[in-house]
Amino acid sequence: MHQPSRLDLIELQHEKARKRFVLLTISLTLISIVSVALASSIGRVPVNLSDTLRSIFSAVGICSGDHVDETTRTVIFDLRLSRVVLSACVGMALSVSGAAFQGILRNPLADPFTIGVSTGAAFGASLAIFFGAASLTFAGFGFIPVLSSLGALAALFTVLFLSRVDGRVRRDTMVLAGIVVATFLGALISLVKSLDEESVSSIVFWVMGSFQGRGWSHLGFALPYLIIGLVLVVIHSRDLDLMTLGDSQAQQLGVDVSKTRRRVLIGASLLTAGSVSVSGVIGFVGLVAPHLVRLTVGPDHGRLFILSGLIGMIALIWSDVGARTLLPEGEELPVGVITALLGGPFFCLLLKKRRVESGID
Amino acid sequence: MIEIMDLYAGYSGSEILKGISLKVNSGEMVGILGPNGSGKTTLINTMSGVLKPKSGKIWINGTVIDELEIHELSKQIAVAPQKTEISFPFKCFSITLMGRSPHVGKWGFYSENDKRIALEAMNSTNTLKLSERPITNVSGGEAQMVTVARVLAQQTGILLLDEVTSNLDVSHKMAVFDLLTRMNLQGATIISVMHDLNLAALYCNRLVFLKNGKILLDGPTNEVFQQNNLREIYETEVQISFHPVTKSPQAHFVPGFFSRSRLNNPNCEPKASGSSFDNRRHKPTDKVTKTSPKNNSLVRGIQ
Repeated sequence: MHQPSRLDLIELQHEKARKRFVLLTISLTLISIVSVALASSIGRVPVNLSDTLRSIFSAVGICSGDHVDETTRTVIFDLRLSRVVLSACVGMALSVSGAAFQGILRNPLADPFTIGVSTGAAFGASLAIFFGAASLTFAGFGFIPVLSSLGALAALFTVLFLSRVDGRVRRDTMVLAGIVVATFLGALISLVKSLDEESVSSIVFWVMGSFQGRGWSHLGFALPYLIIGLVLVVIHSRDLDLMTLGDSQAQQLGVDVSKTRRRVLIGASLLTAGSVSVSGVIGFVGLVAPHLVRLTVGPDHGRLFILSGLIGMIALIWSDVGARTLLPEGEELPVGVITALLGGPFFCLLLKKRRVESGID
Repeated sequence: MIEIMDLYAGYSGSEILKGISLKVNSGEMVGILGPNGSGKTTLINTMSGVLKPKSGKIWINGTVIDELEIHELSKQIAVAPQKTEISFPFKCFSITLMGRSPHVGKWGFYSENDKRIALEAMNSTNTLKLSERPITNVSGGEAQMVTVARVLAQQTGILLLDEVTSNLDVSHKMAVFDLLTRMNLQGATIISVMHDLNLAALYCNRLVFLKNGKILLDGPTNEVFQQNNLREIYETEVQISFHPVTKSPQAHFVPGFFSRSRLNNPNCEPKASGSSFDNRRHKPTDKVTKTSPKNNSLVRGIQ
């Protein structure tokens, strides 16, 4: 009955897959650390890498910053590093959130942007600013992320309600509902911003995303949302694997389906809301990163979250470097333009080339 | 052991099951039969806790189903669904390994032992060759075999199978049911929804016939698998013979009867002729003459 050779072969293949995953995790971690340092040294005032590293290390107290002048240290640590770290966190959050939405909605085309959650978060944040709540804080939490989270959840539940037929959420109508809600809320953002007599650039900020002028304080108020969201999503990795079989089968395998769905949807919305409240709506990161990972290591959610998080970090760090350096005279592009320009064609390539493997069929 | 008492269940707006009472003892192998839309899948869904009953009670091994945690229930009942649509390209081995999920702690990972059990399940269903292929990339029949492997890996005392062999060729059908019979002999309780009457008669020692959400017949295969019963339930003319090897009853449906009887006599009730056929049940010679097409008029005459 037993075929030891076959079993050994399978075991060997699993060992190989495991090694590949570990190797990828280590190398992507190293790449993201190097990216943080490199991205901090790039800018309108170029600073060489050793000065950049000295500034960073002296700021966190690892070595003395005697060799670097005060201005350089300020530029590197307060302006650039803070922005790079923020973009890394947002990249991670958007990718994990995209992977989570795809898993829980069993829809490979779902991501915070396509199902309207990002735009909902942006609308919440612009309302907060419109009513002058931007400077208010509550128990140490800024109001922008709070309203942004509420906006994200409101948009999500509207989309779920619109796609709910006969007591069940229909995933095929979900993206359609998401696009309708996103377009509607996008128009409302423009309206609110126009009423507030703000410049077109602030509308562009919310709709296309940007890290211009963002720093440590923004990271501070987004971070709690990102951490809570990350925990809620990651603890359900295995449940998400089972839920790809469908709700009934997941339940028959012991998953509390409604609890898992509630937690993962809220977790992914918090990740989105935390990100959007500091950077506006940035598309495509949450769509491309998880697909790329599925092609390399398969759809297992534990591995998917780790690797797409890392890829999202690296992608958004470099997209933001592009956004702040491509135009001359210190002009900035919205970072969402870069991610769409890179992510769009890349995603089309994936769609076209590996339909079956990526599960889009 | 599963006991169902006066069960009413359905989906929003429509009641599918209307007063089902059923008791399946440990170690039984039961076939659930009945026409399309009779409530077979709904019954499986309520027995596995996925669908809440509107009224009535279900006991699983002596405990009321509502009082069992979802996780606890999945250690006692495994369900093979009619159809699986998987959105992501999990490897067939990963799918089989998911069957071990109920036995893994909340935070735990699959152990080496879980992997060994999953591989054994694949081995016994002859699906080891598929283990590294994405489930989205195998045929419908192969996917069904992987589902059977997953259900075996779950290692539960009760197995509910919903049309699990519908996409399989004859040899795979037989292989799956031979395997299920072996498991049944080792003590597993098996409840299988089936459309293939003859397969059910070959393998199940008890048959339950559902129609319009009610149990029409329930009993040992030899007692309920009879011409008048089948004709009444499926509203189609049928003849019974006996399997040359196993002596199980086998049904042969007569072509052309359904449309003709409806066209010529819209008020025709196949039920009415039940008793007249009943007497001839054990006379195979009679049946042979009646199956020939030229004698169809005779059948209609009796109607």
